[in-house]
Amino acid sequence: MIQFSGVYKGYRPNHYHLKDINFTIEKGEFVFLTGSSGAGKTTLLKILFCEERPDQGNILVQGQNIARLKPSAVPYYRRNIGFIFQDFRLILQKTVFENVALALRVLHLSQGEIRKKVGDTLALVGLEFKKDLKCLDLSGGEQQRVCIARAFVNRPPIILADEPTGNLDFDLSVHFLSLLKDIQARGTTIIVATHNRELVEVAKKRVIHIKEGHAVSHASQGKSGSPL
Amino acid sequence: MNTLIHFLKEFLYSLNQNKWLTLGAIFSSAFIWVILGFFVITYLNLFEIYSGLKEDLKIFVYLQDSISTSDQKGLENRLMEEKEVLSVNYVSKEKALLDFRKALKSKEDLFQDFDGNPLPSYFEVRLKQQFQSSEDFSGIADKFKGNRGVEDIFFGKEWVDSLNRTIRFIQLMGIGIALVLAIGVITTIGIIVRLAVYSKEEEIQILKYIGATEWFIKAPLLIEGGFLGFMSAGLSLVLLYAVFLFLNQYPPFVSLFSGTSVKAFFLPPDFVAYFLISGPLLGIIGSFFPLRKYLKTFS
Repeated sequence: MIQFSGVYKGYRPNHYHLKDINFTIEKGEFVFLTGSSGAGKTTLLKILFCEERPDQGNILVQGQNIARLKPSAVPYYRRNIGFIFQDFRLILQKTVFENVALALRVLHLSQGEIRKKVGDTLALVGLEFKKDLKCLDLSGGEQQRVCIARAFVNRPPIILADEPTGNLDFDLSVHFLSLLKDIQARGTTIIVATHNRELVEVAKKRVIHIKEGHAVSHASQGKSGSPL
Repeated sequence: MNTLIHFLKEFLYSLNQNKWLTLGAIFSSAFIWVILGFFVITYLNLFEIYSGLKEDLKIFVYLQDSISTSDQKGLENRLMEEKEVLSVNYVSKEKALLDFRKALKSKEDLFQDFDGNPLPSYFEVRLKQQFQSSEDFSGIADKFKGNRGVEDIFFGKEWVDSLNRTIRFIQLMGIGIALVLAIGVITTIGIIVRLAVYSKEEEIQILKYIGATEWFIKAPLLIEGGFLGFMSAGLSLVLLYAVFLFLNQYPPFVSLFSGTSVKAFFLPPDFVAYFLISGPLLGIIGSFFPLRKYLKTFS
Protein backbone atom coordinates (compact mmCIF):
# COMPACT_ATOMS: atom_id res chain seq x y z
CA MET A 1 0.00 0.00 0.00
CA ILE A 2 2.64 2.55 1.15
CA GLN A 3 6.33 1.79 0.73
CA PHE A 4 9.26 4.09 1.53
CA SER A 5 12.63 2.94 0.10
CA GLY A 6 15.88 4.77 0.73
CA VAL A 7 14.20 8.15 1.26
CA TYR A 8 16.40 11.12 2.13
CA LYS A 9 15.29 14.69 2.73
CA GLY A 10 17.32 17.68 3.86
CA TYR A 11 17.02 21.43 3.91
CA ARG A 12 20.76 22.17 3.81
CA PRO A 13 23.43 20.65 1.58
CA ASN A 14 24.78 17.35 2.98
CA HIS A 15 22.62 17.64 6.07
CA TYR A 16 19.65 15.28 5.96
CA HIS A 17 16.61 15.62 8.16
CA LEU A 18 15.42 12.16 7.11
CA LYS A 19 18.04 9.53 6.32
CA ASP A 20 17.54 6.27 4.49
CA ILE A 21 13.90 5.85 5.47
CA ASN A 22 12.55 2.38 4.65
CA PHE A 23 9.20 1.00 5.78
CA THR A 24 5.99 -0.49 4.49
CA ILE A 25 2.44 0.18 5.66
CA GLU A 26 -0.24 -2.29 4.62
CA LYS A 27 -3.71 -1.40 3.35
CA GLY A 28 -6.10 -0.74 6.25
CA GLU A 29 -3.28 -0.51 8.81
CA PHE A 30 -3.27 2.02 11.68
CA VAL A 31 0.23 3.38 12.32
CA PHE A 32 1.61 6.03 14.68
CA LEU A 33 4.61 8.14 13.68
CA THR A 34 6.38 9.19 16.83
CA GLY A 35 9.52 11.10 17.70
CA SER A 36 10.58 14.23 19.50
CA SER A 37 9.76 17.68 18.17
CA GLY A 38 11.76 18.37 15.02
CA ALA A 39 12.54 14.66 14.52
CA GLY A 40 11.00 14.72 11.03
CA LYS A 41 7.46 13.37 11.55
CA THR A 42 5.82 16.34 9.83
CA THR A 43 8.40 16.29 7.02
CA LEU A 44 7.58 12.62 6.42
CA LEU A 45 3.85 13.39 6.27
CA LYS A 46 4.49 16.34 3.97
CA ILE A 47 6.41 14.07 1.60
CA LEU A 48 3.57 11.55 1.72
CA PHE A 49 1.11 14.36 1.02
CA CYS A 50 3.25 15.65 -1.87
CA GLU A 51 3.82 19.01 -0.26
CA GLU A 52 7.54 18.36 -0.40
CA ARG A 53 9.69 16.19 -2.62
CA PRO A 54 12.32 13.80 -1.23
CA ASP A 55 15.96 14.40 -2.24
CA GLN A 56 16.48 10.70 -2.89
CA GLY A 57 14.52 7.47 -2.81
CA ASN A 58 11.14 6.19 -3.88
CA ILE A 59 7.73 6.24 -2.25
CA LEU A 60 5.15 3.87 -3.66
CA VAL A 61 1.54 4.65 -2.78
CA GLN A 62 -0.98 2.22 -4.27
CA GLY A 63 1.64 1.30 -6.85
CA GLN A 64 2.41 4.89 -7.89
CA ASN A 65 5.84 6.41 -7.23
CA ILE A 66 4.88 9.77 -5.76
CA ALA A 67 8.52 10.93 -5.56
CA ARG A 68 8.27 11.44 -9.34
CA LEU A 69 4.72 12.80 -9.47
CA LYS A 70 4.19 15.73 -11.84
CA PRO A 71 2.84 18.91 -10.16
CA SER A 72 -0.28 18.77 -12.35
CA ALA A 73 -1.06 15.24 -11.02
CA VAL A 74 -0.75 16.24 -7.35
CA PRO A 75 -4.35 17.52 -6.84
CA TYR A 76 -5.72 14.21 -8.17
CA TYR A 77 -3.34 12.22 -5.93
CA ARG A 78 -4.41 14.28 -2.89
CA ARG A 79 -8.02 13.29 -3.43
CA ASN A 80 -6.93 9.82 -2.23
CA ILE A 81 -5.69 11.25 1.04
CA GLY A 82 -7.60 12.90 3.86
CA PHE A 83 -5.48 15.23 5.99
CA ILE A 84 -6.26 16.10 9.61
CA PHE A 85 -4.39 19.14 10.95
CA GLN A 86 -3.49 20.05 14.49
CA ASP A 87 -4.91 23.55 13.90
CA PHE A 88 -7.93 22.08 12.01
CA ARG A 89 -7.60 24.50 9.06
CA LEU A 90 -11.31 25.14 8.72
CA ILE A 91 -12.96 28.13 7.04
CA LEU A 92 -14.41 29.50 10.25
CA GLN A 93 -16.96 31.81 8.60
CA LYS A 94 -18.52 28.92 6.71
CA THR A 95 -20.95 26.36 8.12
CA VAL A 96 -19.98 22.83 9.16
CA PHE A 97 -21.81 21.53 6.08
CA GLU A 98 -19.97 23.87 3.70
CA ASN A 99 -16.56 23.01 5.16
CA VAL A 100 -17.14 19.29 4.73
CA ALA A 101 -18.86 19.68 1.34
CA LEU A 102 -15.85 21.54 -0.05
CA ALA A 103 -13.91 18.25 -0.32
CA LEU A 104 -16.70 16.92 -2.57
CA ARG A 105 -17.15 20.08 -4.62
CA VAL A 106 -13.61 19.71 -5.96
CA LEU A 107 -14.75 16.31 -7.30
CA HIS A 108 -17.60 18.07 -9.18
CA LEU A 109 -20.31 15.91 -7.52
CA SER A 110 -23.98 16.85 -7.81
CA GLN A 111 -25.67 18.77 -5.00
CA GLY A 112 -27.78 15.69 -4.14
CA GLU A 113 -24.72 13.44 -3.79
CA ILE A 114 -22.95 16.09 -1.75
CA ARG A 115 -25.91 16.41 0.64
CA LYS A 116 -26.12 12.65 1.13
CA LYS A 117 -22.39 12.03 1.66
CA VAL A 118 -21.91 15.02 3.96
CA GLY A 119 -24.99 14.00 5.98
CA ASP A 120 -23.69 10.42 6.40
CA THR A 121 -20.21 11.58 7.42
CA LEU A 122 -21.48 14.19 9.87
CA ALA A 123 -23.62 11.45 11.47
CA LEU A 124 -20.47 9.31 11.80
CA VAL A 125 -18.67 12.05 13.76
CA GLY A 126 -21.83 13.03 15.70
CA LEU A 127 -22.30 16.48 14.21
CA GLU A 128 -25.43 15.93 12.11
CA PHE A 129 -27.40 18.43 14.21
CA LYS A 130 -24.77 21.12 13.98
CA LYS A 131 -24.37 21.14 10.21
CA ASP A 132 -25.79 24.65 9.82
CA LEU A 133 -23.63 26.23 12.51
CA LYS A 134 -20.61 28.26 11.57
CA CYS A 135 -17.35 26.56 12.55
CA LEU A 136 -16.55 29.72 14.49
CA ASP A 137 -19.30 28.78 16.96
CA LEU A 138 -17.99 25.25 17.64
CA SER A 139 -15.76 24.02 20.47
CA GLY A 140 -12.22 22.78 19.79
CA GLY A 141 -13.33 19.13 19.96
CA GLU A 142 -16.19 19.79 17.55
CA GLN A 143 -13.91 21.61 15.13
CA GLN A 144 -11.60 18.59 15.24
CA ARG A 145 -14.54 16.33 14.30
CA VAL A 146 -15.42 18.65 11.36
CA CYS A 147 -11.81 18.26 10.27
CA ILE A 148 -12.14 14.46 10.45
CA ALA A 149 -15.42 14.59 8.53
CA ARG A 150 -13.82 16.70 5.79
CA ALA A 151 -10.88 14.29 5.56
CA PHE A 152 -13.14 11.22 5.32
CA VAL A 153 -16.18 12.48 3.39
CA ASN A 154 -14.93 11.28 -0.01
CA ARG A 155 -13.86 7.95 1.54
CA PRO A 156 -10.13 8.23 0.72
CA PRO A 157 -8.03 5.06 1.09
CA ILE A 158 -5.52 6.91 3.30
CA ILE A 159 -5.91 9.40 6.16
CA LEU A 160 -2.93 11.36 7.52
CA ALA A 161 -3.09 13.24 10.81
CA ASP A 162 -0.41 15.65 12.01
CA GLU A 163 -0.43 16.10 15.81
CA PRO A 164 -4.24 15.86 15.73
CA THR A 165 -4.67 15.86 19.53
CA GLY A 166 -2.27 18.73 20.17
CA ASN A 167 -5.16 21.06 21.04
CA LEU A 168 -7.41 18.48 22.79
CA ASP A 169 -7.58 17.18 26.36
CA PHE A 170 -7.04 13.46 27.05
CA ASP A 171 -10.76 12.49 27.00
CA LEU A 172 -11.32 14.23 23.67
CA SER A 173 -8.12 12.65 22.35
CA VAL A 174 -9.44 9.18 23.24
CA HIS A 175 -12.75 10.01 21.55
CA PHE A 176 -10.83 11.19 18.50
CA LEU A 177 -8.91 7.89 18.52
CA SER A 178 -12.11 5.87 18.62
CA LEU A 179 -13.42 7.82 15.62
CA LEU A 180 -10.27 7.03 13.68
CA LYS A 181 -10.59 3.35 14.63
CA ASP A 182 -14.16 3.38 13.24
CA ILE A 183 -12.84 4.81 10.01
CA GLN A 184 -10.00 2.25 9.93
CA ALA A 185 -12.59 -0.49 10.37
CA ARG A 186 -14.00 0.56 6.97
CA GLY A 187 -10.68 -0.32 5.33
CA THR A 188 -8.93 3.06 5.47
CA THR A 189 -5.17 3.24 6.16
CA ILE A 190 -4.47 5.67 8.98
CA ILE A 191 -1.14 7.35 9.79
CA VAL A 192 -1.02 9.61 12.84
CA ALA A 193 2.06 11.70 13.68
CA THR A 194 2.08 12.46 17.40
CA HIS A 195 4.23 12.86 20.46
CA ASN A 196 1.27 12.07 22.74
CA ARG A 197 2.71 8.91 24.39
CA GLU A 198 -0.45 8.22 26.42
CA LEU A 199 -2.55 8.11 23.27
CA VAL A 200 -0.09 5.76 21.58
CA GLU A 201 -0.14 3.44 24.60
CA VAL A 202 -3.96 3.42 24.74
CA ALA A 203 -4.25 2.74 21.01
CA LYS A 204 -2.05 -0.39 20.97
CA LYS A 205 -1.15 0.10 17.33
CA ARG A 206 2.06 -0.20 15.35
CA VAL A 207 4.54 2.64 15.89
CA ILE A 208 7.18 4.00 13.52
CA HIS A 209 9.58 6.00 15.64
CA ILE A 210 11.78 8.66 13.99
CA LYS A 211 15.06 9.21 15.78
CA GLU A 212 17.95 11.27 14.48
CA GLY A 213 16.48 11.07 11.00
CA HIS A 214 16.18 7.26 10.99
CA ALA A 215 12.93 5.26 11.23
CA VAL A 216 12.58 2.46 13.79
CA SER A 217 9.45 0.32 13.95
CA HIS A 218 7.90 -1.48 16.94
CA ALA A 219 4.50 -2.31 18.44
CA SER A 220 3.03 0.45 20.60
CA GLN A 221 3.61 -1.26 23.93
CA GLY A 222 6.53 -3.42 22.85
CA LYS A 223 10.21 -2.85 23.42
CA SER A 224 12.36 -0.86 21.10
CA GLY A 225 12.53 -2.55 17.71
CA SER A 226 15.16 -2.80 15.01
CA PRO A 227 15.82 -0.18 12.34
CA LEU A 228 13.62 -0.78 9.30
CA MET B 1 -22.97 23.21 -14.19
CA ASN B 2 -22.64 22.41 -10.47
CA THR B 3 -19.09 23.68 -10.55
CA LEU B 4 -20.15 26.90 -12.28
CA ILE B 5 -22.83 27.45 -9.64
CA HIS B 6 -20.16 26.79 -7.02
CA PHE B 7 -17.87 29.41 -8.58
CA LEU B 8 -20.65 32.01 -8.61
CA LYS B 9 -21.66 31.12 -5.04
CA GLU B 10 -18.05 31.40 -3.91
CA PHE B 11 -17.74 34.75 -5.65
CA LEU B 12 -20.93 36.08 -3.99
CA TYR B 13 -19.90 34.59 -0.64
CA SER B 14 -16.53 36.28 -0.89
CA LEU B 15 -18.13 39.64 -1.79
CA ASN B 16 -20.41 39.32 1.21
CA GLN B 17 -17.58 38.26 3.54
CA ASN B 18 -15.19 40.97 2.40
CA LYS B 19 -17.74 43.77 1.86
CA TRP B 20 -15.50 46.55 3.14
CA LEU B 21 -12.35 45.27 1.50
CA THR B 22 -14.20 44.95 -1.82
CA LEU B 23 -15.77 48.39 -1.51
CA GLY B 24 -12.40 49.88 -0.57
CA ALA B 25 -10.76 48.17 -3.53
CA ILE B 26 -13.48 49.38 -5.93
CA PHE B 27 -13.30 52.99 -4.71
CA SER B 28 -9.50 53.21 -4.62
CA SER B 29 -9.20 51.68 -8.12
CA ALA B 30 -11.99 53.99 -9.33
CA PHE B 31 -9.97 56.95 -8.03
CA ILE B 32 -7.04 55.95 -10.28
CA TRP B 33 -9.41 55.49 -13.22
CA VAL B 34 -10.86 58.96 -12.55
CA ILE B 35 -7.37 60.49 -12.80
CA LEU B 36 -6.76 58.66 -16.08
CA GLY B 37 -10.23 59.56 -17.37
CA PHE B 38 -9.82 63.23 -16.40
CA PHE B 39 -6.56 63.36 -18.30
CA VAL B 40 -8.01 61.62 -21.38
CA ILE B 41 -11.00 64.00 -21.47
CA THR B 42 -8.74 67.05 -21.10
CA TYR B 43 -6.39 65.74 -23.75
CA LEU B 44 -9.14 64.97 -26.25
CA ASN B 45 -10.78 68.37 -25.77
CA LEU B 46 -7.47 70.19 -26.07
CA PHE B 47 -6.57 68.19 -29.15
CA GLU B 48 -9.93 69.02 -30.70
CA ILE B 49 -9.43 72.75 -30.03
CA TYR B 50 -6.01 72.73 -31.70
CA SER B 51 -7.24 70.60 -34.58
CA GLY B 52 -10.03 73.17 -35.04
CA LEU B 53 -7.44 75.92 -35.27
CA LYS B 54 -5.80 74.02 -38.10
CA GLU B 55 -8.92 74.48 -40.19
CA ASP B 56 -8.23 78.21 -40.10
CA LEU B 57 -4.87 77.79 -41.80
CA LYS B 58 -5.07 79.30 -45.32
CA ILE B 59 -2.89 80.38 -48.19
CA PHE B 60 -3.77 83.83 -49.47
CA VAL B 61 -3.11 84.27 -53.20
CA TYR B 62 -3.34 88.05 -53.83
CA LEU B 63 -4.31 89.00 -57.35
CA GLN B 64 -3.16 91.93 -59.46
CA ASP B 65 -5.88 94.49 -60.14
CA SER B 66 -5.19 94.03 -63.85
CA ILE B 67 -5.86 90.26 -63.91
CA SER B 68 -8.25 89.23 -66.63
CA THR B 69 -11.32 87.17 -65.87
CA SER B 70 -9.99 84.22 -67.90
CA ASP B 71 -6.63 84.30 -66.10
CA GLN B 72 -8.42 84.44 -62.79
CA LYS B 73 -10.61 81.47 -63.74
CA GLY B 74 -7.59 79.55 -65.05
CA LEU B 75 -5.66 80.20 -61.82
CA GLU B 76 -8.61 79.03 -59.73
CA ASN B 77 -8.89 75.83 -61.77
CA ARG B 78 -5.15 75.11 -61.51
CA LEU B 79 -5.29 75.61 -57.76
CA MET B 80 -8.26 73.22 -57.47
CA GLU B 81 -6.36 70.58 -59.45
CA GLU B 82 -3.58 70.39 -56.83
CA LYS B 83 -3.93 67.20 -54.77
CA GLU B 84 -3.26 69.08 -51.50
CA VAL B 85 -6.03 71.64 -52.03
CA LEU B 86 -9.36 71.22 -50.28
CA SER B 87 -11.12 74.42 -51.30
CA VAL B 88 -10.52 77.69 -53.10
CA ASN B 89 -12.60 80.71 -52.17
CA TYR B 90 -12.52 83.95 -54.17
CA VAL B 91 -12.69 87.23 -52.20
CA SER B 92 -13.30 90.34 -54.26
CA LYS B 93 -11.70 93.74 -53.61
CA GLU B 94 -15.01 95.04 -52.23
CA LYS B 95 -15.45 92.09 -49.87
CA ALA B 96 -11.82 92.41 -48.74
CA LEU B 97 -12.36 96.05 -47.84
CA LEU B 98 -15.59 95.27 -46.05
CA ASP B 99 -13.89 92.52 -43.99
CA PHE B 100 -10.96 94.79 -43.23
CA ARG B 101 -13.24 97.58 -42.01
CA LYS B 102 -15.18 95.14 -39.90
CA ALA B 103 -11.95 93.87 -38.32
CA LEU B 104 -10.65 97.39 -37.61
CA LYS B 105 -13.91 99.02 -36.71
CA SER B 106 -12.39 101.26 -34.01
CA LYS B 107 -9.79 102.63 -36.42
CA GLU B 108 -12.12 103.94 -39.13
CA ASP B 109 -9.92 107.05 -39.58
CA LEU B 110 -7.18 104.87 -41.14
CA PHE B 111 -9.23 104.77 -44.33
CA GLN B 112 -9.70 108.52 -44.60
CA ASP B 113 -6.43 109.05 -46.47
CA PHE B 114 -7.29 106.51 -49.15
CA ASP B 115 -9.22 107.25 -52.28
CA GLY B 116 -10.97 104.19 -53.52
CA ASN B 117 -10.03 100.68 -52.44
CA PRO B 118 -6.33 99.89 -51.89
CA LEU B 119 -6.91 96.19 -51.09
CA PRO B 120 -6.40 93.49 -53.74
CA SER B 121 -8.81 90.66 -54.47
CA TYR B 122 -7.52 87.23 -53.46
CA PHE B 123 -8.08 83.48 -53.28
CA GLU B 124 -8.37 81.80 -49.87
CA VAL B 125 -6.90 78.33 -50.32
CA ARG B 126 -7.49 75.62 -47.71
CA LEU B 127 -5.47 72.41 -47.70
CA LYS B 128 -6.69 68.93 -46.92
CA GLN B 129 -6.29 67.54 -43.37
CA GLN B 130 -3.36 65.31 -44.32
CA PHE B 131 -1.45 68.16 -46.02
CA GLN B 132 -1.03 70.61 -43.19
CA SER B 133 2.73 70.74 -42.81
CA SER B 134 4.76 73.87 -43.42
CA GLU B 135 6.32 72.11 -46.47
CA ASP B 136 2.89 71.50 -48.01
CA PHE B 137 2.01 75.19 -47.64
CA SER B 138 5.40 76.29 -49.03
CA GLY B 139 5.05 73.86 -51.95
CA ILE B 140 1.77 75.39 -53.11
CA ALA B 141 2.95 78.95 -52.46
CA ASP B 142 6.19 78.44 -54.44
CA LYS B 143 4.37 76.78 -57.31
CA PHE B 144 1.97 79.68 -57.85
CA LYS B 145 4.25 82.57 -57.00
CA GLY B 146 5.01 84.58 -60.15
CA ASN B 147 2.07 83.13 -62.08
CA ARG B 148 0.38 85.53 -64.42
CA GLY B 149 -1.95 87.81 -62.49
CA VAL B 150 -0.55 86.85 -59.06
CA GLU B 151 0.62 89.82 -56.99
CA ASP B 152 1.84 87.93 -53.96
CA ILE B 153 1.25 84.78 -51.94
CA PHE B 154 1.13 84.68 -48.18
CA PHE B 155 0.62 82.03 -45.53
CA GLY B 156 1.71 82.46 -41.91
CA LYS B 157 4.74 80.12 -42.07
CA GLU B 158 5.63 80.74 -38.43
CA TRP B 159 2.02 80.28 -37.38
CA VAL B 160 1.76 76.99 -39.31
CA ASP B 161 5.05 75.77 -37.85
CA SER B 162 4.14 76.80 -34.33
CA LEU B 163 0.68 75.23 -34.48
CA ASN B 164 2.08 71.98 -35.88
CA ARG B 165 4.76 71.93 -33.17
CA THR B 166 2.13 72.51 -30.46
CA ILE B 167 -0.11 69.74 -31.79
CA ARG B 168 2.85 67.33 -32.00
CA PHE B 169 3.84 68.29 -28.46
CA ILE B 170 0.30 67.69 -27.18
CA GLN B 171 0.24 64.33 -28.96
CA LEU B 172 3.60 63.20 -27.52
CA MET B 173 2.82 64.52 -24.07
CA GLY B 174 -0.59 62.84 -24.24
CA ILE B 175 0.89 59.47 -25.15
CA GLY B 176 3.59 59.83 -22.47
CA ILE B 177 1.25 60.84 -19.64
CA ALA B 178 -1.37 58.26 -20.69
CA LEU B 179 1.33 55.60 -20.63
CA VAL B 180 2.52 56.60 -17.14
CA LEU B 181 -1.08 56.75 -15.86
CA ALA B 182 -1.92 53.40 -17.48
CA ILE B 183 1.07 51.83 -15.71
CA GLY B 184 -0.19 53.47 -12.49
CA VAL B 185 -3.65 51.98 -13.04
CA ILE B 186 -2.23 48.50 -13.67
CA THR B 187 0.08 48.68 -10.64
CA THR B 188 -2.57 50.05 -8.28
CA ILE B 189 -5.24 47.59 -9.34
CA GLY B 190 -2.62 44.80 -9.13
CA ILE B 191 -1.76 45.80 -5.54
CA ILE B 192 -5.41 46.13 -4.52
CA VAL B 193 -6.40 42.77 -6.00
CA ARG B 194 -3.26 41.26 -4.46
CA LEU B 195 -4.44 42.42 -1.03
CA ALA B 196 -7.80 40.78 -1.67
CA VAL B 197 -6.03 37.55 -2.66
CA TYR B 198 -3.77 37.68 0.43
CA SER B 199 -6.86 37.74 2.62
CA LYS B 200 -7.78 34.36 1.13
CA GLU B 201 -4.40 32.72 1.60
CA GLU B 202 -5.69 30.29 4.25
CA GLU B 203 -8.68 29.27 2.13
CA ILE B 204 -6.47 28.71 -0.91
CA GLN B 205 -4.20 26.43 1.17
CA ILE B 206 -7.22 24.42 2.35
CA LEU B 207 -8.46 24.00 -1.21
CA LYS B 208 -5.01 22.77 -2.25
CA TYR B 209 -4.98 20.21 0.56
CA ILE B 210 -8.34 18.75 -0.40
CA GLY B 211 -7.23 18.16 -3.98
CA ALA B 212 -8.63 21.19 -5.80
CA THR B 213 -7.09 21.80 -9.21
CA GLU B 214 -5.50 25.14 -10.01
CA TRP B 215 -8.49 26.28 -12.04
CA PHE B 216 -10.96 25.31 -9.34
CA ILE B 217 -9.08 27.65 -6.98
CA LYS B 218 -8.41 30.37 -9.52
CA ALA B 219 -11.83 30.70 -11.18
CA PRO B 220 -13.80 32.41 -8.35
CA LEU B 221 -10.86 34.74 -7.61
CA LEU B 222 -10.49 35.68 -11.27
CA ILE B 223 -14.24 36.33 -11.47
CA GLU B 224 -13.87 38.52 -8.39
CA GLY B 225 -10.90 40.39 -9.92
CA GLY B 226 -12.85 40.96 -13.14
CA PHE B 227 -15.90 42.18 -11.24
CA LEU B 228 -13.76 44.50 -9.13
CA GLY B 229 -12.10 45.94 -12.26
CA PHE B 230 -15.44 46.39 -14.04
CA MET B 231 -17.07 48.08 -11.08
CA SER B 232 -14.16 50.46 -10.50
CA ALA B 233 -13.96 51.47 -14.18
CA GLY B 234 -17.77 51.84 -14.32
CA LEU B 235 -17.84 53.89 -11.12
CA SER B 236 -15.08 56.16 -12.42
CA LEU B 237 -17.14 56.85 -15.59
CA VAL B 238 -20.18 57.76 -13.49
CA LEU B 239 -18.08 60.08 -11.30
CA LEU B 240 -16.37 61.66 -14.30
CA TYR B 241 -19.69 62.22 -16.06
CA ALA B 242 -21.17 63.82 -12.94
CA VAL B 243 -18.17 66.18 -12.67
CA PHE B 244 -18.37 66.91 -16.40
CA LEU B 245 -22.08 67.82 -16.18
CA PHE B 246 -21.38 70.02 -13.18
CA LEU B 247 -18.49 71.83 -14.92
CA ASN B 248 -20.55 72.36 -18.04
CA GLN B 249 -22.91 74.57 -15.98
CA TYR B 250 -19.96 76.42 -14.46
CA PRO B 251 -19.27 79.69 -16.38
CA PRO B 252 -15.45 79.83 -15.91
CA PHE B 253 -15.20 76.33 -17.40
CA VAL B 254 -17.50 77.11 -20.33
CA SER B 255 -15.55 80.32 -21.05
CA LEU B 256 -12.42 78.20 -21.64
CA PHE B 257 -14.03 77.10 -24.90
CA SER B 258 -15.28 80.53 -26.02
CA GLY B 259 -13.59 81.77 -29.15
CA THR B 260 -13.18 78.19 -30.42
CA SER B 261 -15.49 76.22 -32.64
CA VAL B 262 -15.36 73.32 -30.12
CA LYS B 263 -17.94 72.57 -27.45
CA ALA B 264 -16.63 70.68 -24.38
CA PHE B 265 -17.35 66.97 -24.80
CA PHE B 266 -17.19 63.86 -22.57
CA LEU B 267 -15.35 60.63 -23.43
CA PRO B 268 -16.46 59.37 -26.86
CA PRO B 269 -18.28 55.98 -26.88
CA ASP B 270 -15.17 54.06 -28.03
CA PHE B 271 -13.20 55.39 -25.03
CA VAL B 272 -16.05 54.43 -22.68
CA ALA B 273 -15.86 50.94 -24.19
CA TYR B 274 -12.05 50.85 -23.65
CA PHE B 275 -12.57 51.70 -19.98
CA LEU B 276 -15.28 49.07 -19.50
CA ILE B 277 -13.24 46.38 -21.27
CA SER B 278 -9.83 47.16 -19.79
CA GLY B 279 -11.30 47.46 -16.24
CA PRO B 280 -12.24 43.77 -15.87
CA LEU B 281 -9.24 42.72 -17.95
CA LEU B 282 -6.83 44.47 -15.57
CA GLY B 283 -8.71 43.02 -12.60
CA ILE B 284 -8.30 39.50 -13.99
CA ILE B 285 -4.61 40.03 -14.79
CA GLY B 286 -4.12 41.62 -11.36
CA SER B 287 -5.58 38.51 -9.66
CA PHE B 288 -3.78 36.04 -11.87
CA PHE B 289 -0.20 36.91 -10.92
CA PRO B 290 -0.40 36.94 -7.10
CA LEU B 291 -2.31 33.64 -7.25
CA ARG B 292 0.67 31.95 -8.88
CA LYS B 293 2.64 32.26 -5.64
CA TYR B 294 0.02 30.39 -3.63
CA LEU B 295 -0.60 27.74 -6.22
CA LYS B 296 2.96 26.44 -6.20
CA THR B 297 2.65 22.69 -5.59
CA PHE B 298 5.89 21.91 -3.77
CA SER B 299 7.23 24.14 -1.01
